[in-house]
Amino acid sequence: MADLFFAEHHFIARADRTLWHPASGRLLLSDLHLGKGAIFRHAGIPIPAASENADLDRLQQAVTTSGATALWILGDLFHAPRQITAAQCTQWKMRFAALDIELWVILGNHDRFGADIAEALGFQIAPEPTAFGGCDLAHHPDSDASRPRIAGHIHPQVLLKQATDQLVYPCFAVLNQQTLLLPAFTNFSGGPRFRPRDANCYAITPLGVLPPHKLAPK
Amino acid sequence: MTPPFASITDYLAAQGFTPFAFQETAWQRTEAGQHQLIQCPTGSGKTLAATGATLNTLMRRETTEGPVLLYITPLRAMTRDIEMALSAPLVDTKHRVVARNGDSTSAERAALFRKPPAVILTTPESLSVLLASVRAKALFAHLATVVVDEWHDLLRSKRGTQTQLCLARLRRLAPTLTVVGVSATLADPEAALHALLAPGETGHLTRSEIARDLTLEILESDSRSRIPWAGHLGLSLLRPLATKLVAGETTVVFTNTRNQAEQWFQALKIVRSDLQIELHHGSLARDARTVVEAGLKDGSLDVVVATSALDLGVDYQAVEHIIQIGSARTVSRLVQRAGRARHRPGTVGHVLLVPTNRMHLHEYAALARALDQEQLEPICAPVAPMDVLMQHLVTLALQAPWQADAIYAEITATDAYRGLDRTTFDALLKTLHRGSDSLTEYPEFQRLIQDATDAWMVADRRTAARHRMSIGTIVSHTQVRVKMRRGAALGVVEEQFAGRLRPGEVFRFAGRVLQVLTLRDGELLVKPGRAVKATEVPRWTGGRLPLSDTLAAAVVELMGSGHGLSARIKNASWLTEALRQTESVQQRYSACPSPDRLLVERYQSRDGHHLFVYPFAGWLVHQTLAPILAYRLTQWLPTTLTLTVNDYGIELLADDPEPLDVLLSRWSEALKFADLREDLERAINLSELIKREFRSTARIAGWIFEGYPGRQKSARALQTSAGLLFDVLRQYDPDHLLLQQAENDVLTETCDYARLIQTCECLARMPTDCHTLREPSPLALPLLIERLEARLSSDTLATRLERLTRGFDG
Repeated sequence: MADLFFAEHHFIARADRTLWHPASGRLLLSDLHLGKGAIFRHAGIPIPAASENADLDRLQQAVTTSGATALWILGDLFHAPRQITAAQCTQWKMRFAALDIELWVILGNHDRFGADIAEALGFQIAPEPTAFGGCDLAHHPDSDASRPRIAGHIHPQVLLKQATDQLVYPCFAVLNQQTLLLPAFTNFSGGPRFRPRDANCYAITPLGVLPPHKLAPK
Repeated sequence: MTPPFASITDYLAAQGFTPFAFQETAWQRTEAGQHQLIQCPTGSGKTLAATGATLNTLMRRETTEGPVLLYITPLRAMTRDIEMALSAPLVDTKHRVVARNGDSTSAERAALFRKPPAVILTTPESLSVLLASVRAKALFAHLATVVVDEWHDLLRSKRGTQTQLCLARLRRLAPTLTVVGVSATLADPEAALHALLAPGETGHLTRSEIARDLTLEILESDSRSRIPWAGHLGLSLLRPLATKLVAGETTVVFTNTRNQAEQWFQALKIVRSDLQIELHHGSLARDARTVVEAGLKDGSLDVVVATSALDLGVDYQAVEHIIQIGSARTVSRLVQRAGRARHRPGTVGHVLLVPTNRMHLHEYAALARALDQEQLEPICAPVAPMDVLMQHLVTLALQAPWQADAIYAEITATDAYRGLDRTTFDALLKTLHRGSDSLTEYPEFQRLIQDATDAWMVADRRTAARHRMSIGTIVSHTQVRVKMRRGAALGVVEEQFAGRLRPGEVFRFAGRVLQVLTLRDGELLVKPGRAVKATEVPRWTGGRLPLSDTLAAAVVELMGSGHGLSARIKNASWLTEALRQTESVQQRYSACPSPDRLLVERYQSRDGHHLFVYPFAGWLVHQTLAPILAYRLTQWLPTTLTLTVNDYGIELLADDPEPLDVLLSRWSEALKFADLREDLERAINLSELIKREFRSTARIAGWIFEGYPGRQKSARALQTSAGLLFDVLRQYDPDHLLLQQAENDVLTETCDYARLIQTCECLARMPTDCHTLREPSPLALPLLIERLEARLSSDTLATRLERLTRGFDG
């Protein structure tokens, strides 16, 4: 876990890929992509079901250990809503009910046609962007926006590299003090790779969250 | 009664050509329905030998009931030339020769089934696509002969495995099928023939009697140039080479890597601006290559700088001279390359060799000796690869639903899968049906399903469509198209290279200087760049071929035993003197390596304490052997080592002498067989290697859906990377069949595990001969210089992370 100051808020960047805001009791995350594995399986590409279950277990853990009172998902709650089955719905509903906190979602590009399902799972739908203190919460980043923005969509990763070796990890990335990109919450996602010199990255490594000053020279 | 093969013989006579005896033998065997492997150097009439009997029949017959001849070649580029060669004798008949490959339009594909030609030319991948059709059964019902060209090349890869599986199916569709293999000279032709046949079948070896003897000449250094002691690019002999090029005498300059080809091309253009010089390598756009190939045929080009992309295929009649830059790495490759020049029966092949460092001189002498003794490298064909079989089983299900027992019998009738046990087959079937044969759950998974009669069929139409599109992807590396901003395609580079380039960066490619605009949708957009800034030259992973066993052994033998140089070397006296010089320097600094003792050298420099060991096992083995030695040493004594390898030896660099003393004192223990596999896993970043290999495994199995240009958008929900699939599987289903396959491929191909074991056993038995150097010896110098190119990581994750972020702590 690492302290992350953005738009005059104090956040905690957590190793479970969530962003914790102690002052408001909100736990922020983005890009859960529920149902992604099933779509791959349906197409004959074997993605173990355990992968999604592990995501949901990690979510439960994050809520429990942070003591959050509200969960905010900044888009791409689902991967492809039109292919979601009733059985999946039932299962997810139980998992979200077990969290026992307020559920909010800002719909992302993957959530098209997914509003009804989100509501059925107990989510309230917030507009994009939604104001939050001095900044906005949204799914899509917008470099022209007038206010600082916390967004998902990009699935940022950080590339640690020297001549003969390299490692890649998901990360929180702050661009130009204006945009805070959240990592994709789901394990089953890739994304563009930022070099530490291009953005302030908080790398989520097996050894914990490494803040920017541990990754790159100032 | 007309004499046999009168039609084709008359046709050839009209062209002023009399068939060779081996061609007539081949025709008789085909006519009698006997399988055969025709072995002859390229350019001595192999296509005619393989097809003459069929052509003769077709010239005398009005019609056929469908295709009678199927001609399989590994290279798309070759189909055009063969198409012309086969069409010519049939020009007065109604019979057609049609090429079906990845370039065919959808109209051409449809027409093939509607109006089948007498002869089909295709690649293994496109044949697979044909077999995935329900109409394949009718199409191939009257097939009489199948020709498999360049079998020596196909056999060593998974495309050869795919070919074997396709042949097994063709045999079921056309039970009287005659198989004709065509190959260059092989170390073990019987085995290659056997791999084409069903169990119990026999065949003949048909050899050409044209002895194409090969002479070699080594480019000599002159007063203004000298051959360096180390290095691979080797532009130092540019000037002597430039004087050898003659306007109007077409010359092919073979290099080992595309990088080297690009550099030599640039350099030759500058020093011989009076000549027509062109560049040819596998990454260039097809059009660019076609122009160069045409120039080679009509002799309009003076010089073509090429890579192995020109190794295979048809002959270029106008080519007068062959030049090899650097080492040829294997005997077979040199023979193949020598065969590219103009052939007249009875003439002698000749290659001019250009050393890029002094050790190449010994390689050349060794090469000549191996040629004298006819020692070619054996071919290792893949054994029962699961990914290829997985693809093929779905392909067959698209043709017609199949019963497990029958298909198991069909599969195990191939050479590649004859050892496949039923348990493994059933596990694979389960993987196609349920996602995995482990206990891990894959709800709603579907690929193959069973119908009411228990026959296996493809789950739905979308799965079928996706499979058809993904067949034919047995290619080792993902390629990215390089395109000019204004639209002209220049060629392809490997994704890994493209991914490293950042917008604005300048690199050399296709003989031009290019600046990167963006990398988007699998295309690298570029614009012309300014020459001064070009720093990057594309580097391709496929470019590095290790020195073969055969050659490495010959080099050691040569160094230890003085030189009875082969008579095929034209400037033998110059070479003898040059070799003697190298050896006397090596002898003065330490000693020359010999087959019965292991040369070890120690040296102290500003960098630290060096230990050089020379097993001469090729860099592939050395790059796994070095980390194993280092890993085992660190188990005895905590230490940090830097490792460097090349084809001849290994360098271990330590901060103080103690670890090296320990290693030498426990030398045979450091090489022990026990726990070798486990130590390898811990010593090298094996999982990273497997992850990289998994990319091709997953693609062959049809898990990576790439779609076609312009159609990528529609498959967005299925977009993923092989790396991601690997991570998810590794974490949640570590025993998955395809992970095991990728691991096997890494152990056999990337690590050459079998040769590693042999090397360890051999080294452990050899006495060591340790010398302390005052200055680096000729053998040590290349390792000292190459150090930065080949550092190997043997650290844990924590250490790597620590190192990658070190010094930045704020």
